[in-house]
Amino acid sequence: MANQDPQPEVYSVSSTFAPSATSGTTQTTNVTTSQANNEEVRIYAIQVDIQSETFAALSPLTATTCDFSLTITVGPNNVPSQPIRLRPIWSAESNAMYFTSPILVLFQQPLQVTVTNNQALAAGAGNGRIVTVNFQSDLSIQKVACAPSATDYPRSPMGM
Amino acid sequence: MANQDPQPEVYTVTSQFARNTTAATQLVTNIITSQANNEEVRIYAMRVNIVSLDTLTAPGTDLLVNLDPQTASNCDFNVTITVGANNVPSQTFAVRPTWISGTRTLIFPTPVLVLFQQPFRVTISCVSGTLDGANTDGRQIRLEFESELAIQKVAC
Repeated sequence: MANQDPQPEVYSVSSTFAPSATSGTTQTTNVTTSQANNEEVRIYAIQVDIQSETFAALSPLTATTCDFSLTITVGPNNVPSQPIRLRPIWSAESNAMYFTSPILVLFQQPLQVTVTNNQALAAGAGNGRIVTVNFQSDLSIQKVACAPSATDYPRSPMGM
Repeated sequence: MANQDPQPEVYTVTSQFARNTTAATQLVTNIITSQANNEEVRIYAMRVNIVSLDTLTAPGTDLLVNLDPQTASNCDFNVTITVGANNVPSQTFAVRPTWISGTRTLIFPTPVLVLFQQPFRVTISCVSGTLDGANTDGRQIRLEFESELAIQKVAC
């Protein structure tokens, strides 16, 4: 439920991969948007951070075994339709990727985030990884187009 | 009370976590906006900085040392912004992805709105806890909210 219209939202997803995690390991997180039936969420950008499972910092320029992919599922489909490689975003100065058009999440559509490890992690403390992805979004009340009349009745889907 | 309309505002929140702080420790700060009943605050962005905090080397004098986001450990903090009765954004979010970016600034897609008499509160949670190996293992996190204070416009 929006406190204001529109309302900024930042959804944080942290996925932890233990040391020795095999290539292809996935972590899936369901994001609860708490939106009402007349509200929609638009996701404009993602921010990425990768650190070791012991909370030690990693340098994007020198760290090894930091190859992860991100899949965003909205309702039954993936949006974007293909997985996104996270390391190029993490290595960027802005640390963020802005979508060319926002991802739309409607009422009752599950928003699911899957992070995939593309490279086997080494054994031993400090070789695990925590991948944090922030989704910069807003939650807003859906706008209804009105017929050009004095009554301002909502326009029907048939265009009448 | 606005001196001009709109008036730029920067609200700074500083939270200090001493060494050996347990994970999930929270510090809450209430921000006084001093707005009149016809004024509103809009928060457009949040800037983050984290430094090491040493309260032991020179007792009574806090020593702050810059940290490199690419090498500093135990800097995993979450932030919750509460406006009135609700959180805006509705969920707690991690600030480290913002801190390690070049600008160290998170720009909200739409501004956070604070109306008259709405308590404005910031909660910082230390996710990882702090170490206890050296005097410099404490952490100080500072958030700057880039905002403006404006007189509400009324449609006539």
